[in-house]
Amino acid sequence: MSSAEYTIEVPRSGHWVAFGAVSIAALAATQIFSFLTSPPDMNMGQLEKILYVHVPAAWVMFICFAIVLVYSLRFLWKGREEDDLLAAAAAEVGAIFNGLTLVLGMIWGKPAWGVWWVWDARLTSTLVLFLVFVGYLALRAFVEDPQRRGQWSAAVGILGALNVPIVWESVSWWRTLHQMPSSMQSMAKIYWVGMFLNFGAMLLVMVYFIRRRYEAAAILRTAEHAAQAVALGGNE
Amino acid sequence: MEASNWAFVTAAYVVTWALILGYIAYSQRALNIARAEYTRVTGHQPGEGDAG
Amino acid sequence: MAFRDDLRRVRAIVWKDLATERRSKAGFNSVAALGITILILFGFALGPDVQTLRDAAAGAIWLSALFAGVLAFNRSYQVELESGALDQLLQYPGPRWVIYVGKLVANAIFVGLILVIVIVVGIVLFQVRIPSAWPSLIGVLVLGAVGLVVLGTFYAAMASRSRAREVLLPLLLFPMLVPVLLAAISASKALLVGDIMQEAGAWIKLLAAYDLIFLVATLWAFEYVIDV
Repeated sequence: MSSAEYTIEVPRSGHWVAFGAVSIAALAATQIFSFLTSPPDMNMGQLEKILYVHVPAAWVMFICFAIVLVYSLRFLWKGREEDDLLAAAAAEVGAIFNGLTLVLGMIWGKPAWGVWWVWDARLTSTLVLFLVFVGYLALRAFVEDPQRRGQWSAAVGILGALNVPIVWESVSWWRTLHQMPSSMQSMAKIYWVGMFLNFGAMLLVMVYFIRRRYEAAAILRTAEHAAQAVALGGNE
Repeated sequence: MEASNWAFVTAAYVVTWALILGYIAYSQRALNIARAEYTRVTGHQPGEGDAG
Repeated sequence: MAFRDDLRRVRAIVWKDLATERRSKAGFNSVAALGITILILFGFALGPDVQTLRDAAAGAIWLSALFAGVLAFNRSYQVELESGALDQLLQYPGPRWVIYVGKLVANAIFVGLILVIVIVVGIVLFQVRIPSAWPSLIGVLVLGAVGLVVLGTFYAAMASRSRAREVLLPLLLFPMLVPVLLAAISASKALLVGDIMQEAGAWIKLLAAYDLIFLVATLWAFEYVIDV
């Protein structure tokens, strides 16, 4: 078997460095824009400014779950390693944004609720979803064989993604049925502009992160393929 | 009240950027390691040559 | 009829799995003993005030059954792994779902019995008052147990064959089971105190939906997981 028979397309960095710079700049710009244009909320002082990162980070987290779902399904369907590596990259990036959502939620919560943690529906669900990401990444860490790792991760990723709405709903019921006050006050329209701008920028950053992570994984995997081919006596 | 809230807002943005810049550094390191390994095995840079 | 053959294969696998457990009665007995021990530890952690214990009974019973059940899930693949029989099993013709359903049923019976024991002991230790709505409670127990067994059996197919299986199975399983645990514990709690808010019905629907969704999903995904 020559290594040319199976190659992952080696990704080229090319424009991506520029893309990364643009996305970071965009994020900074939208944050500055939000700071300048949003008036302080009556009750919360300056606190709502945290939401400009916290809420988009949560949305990005959900999108990462969706990416994991799609590429896991593709991997099981077509068996291309690229899909597995992309799903894994999305899971790692998703875990990062998930963690960020959690930490920011707690930083928002301390002055708002007076404590670092309440079993608020959204915060609790986010915590559970973080553990789902962690489980996926732990599985990958403990499985060596790439084919097995890919198929097992795909199954775990698909089930995990399926569970996202179920976890969200069940935790939400758990809180509502026990009649706790809901977490965030509804926001005035002026905030939504800043919110969506920040979301757009953060989406770019997410794409950049996934791409970088994928690139490293794909290059490493290609190197492993090549090393195997050499070891098996190929002359590639 | 207002003053102490600024501390939290600042903390939030510091954490955010620390995470973002930190992840860039981490992924860069992973990329470097991967590229080094690739070059070691195949003898040329990824993206050049015909191994792609 | 091909389907009848499949059903017969399922039954064969169920019998094989259970027979292994039964021949090692120690297996079942020790898991049951563990469940009871965990229950007692919960009692120490939460008690001795009776009202607190009654409030916490549903949670303690479900968690004790879960922790004890986790042992059963890995073990249901262990015997084959040790003897190399899993590869032989995979050589046989027949769709993979047969293996999965066989293990599901065997685990359901095993975990179901453990659950019954833990419940009986829990009722005594936590001074639970049996409500008039106990048939609904049994429904919750069945649906909750199914949820545990479906995901437990599925994830164990992977965890039992990897390094660090003892930590990997709970790590993968427990976050996924959050909806089941919330629903089962909340519904049980509500039914135990008369369900004034009529919430048990909603939780039971959630449990049923969850069980159906993941039964279908794991049935579909099993062949990808067992064959590699």
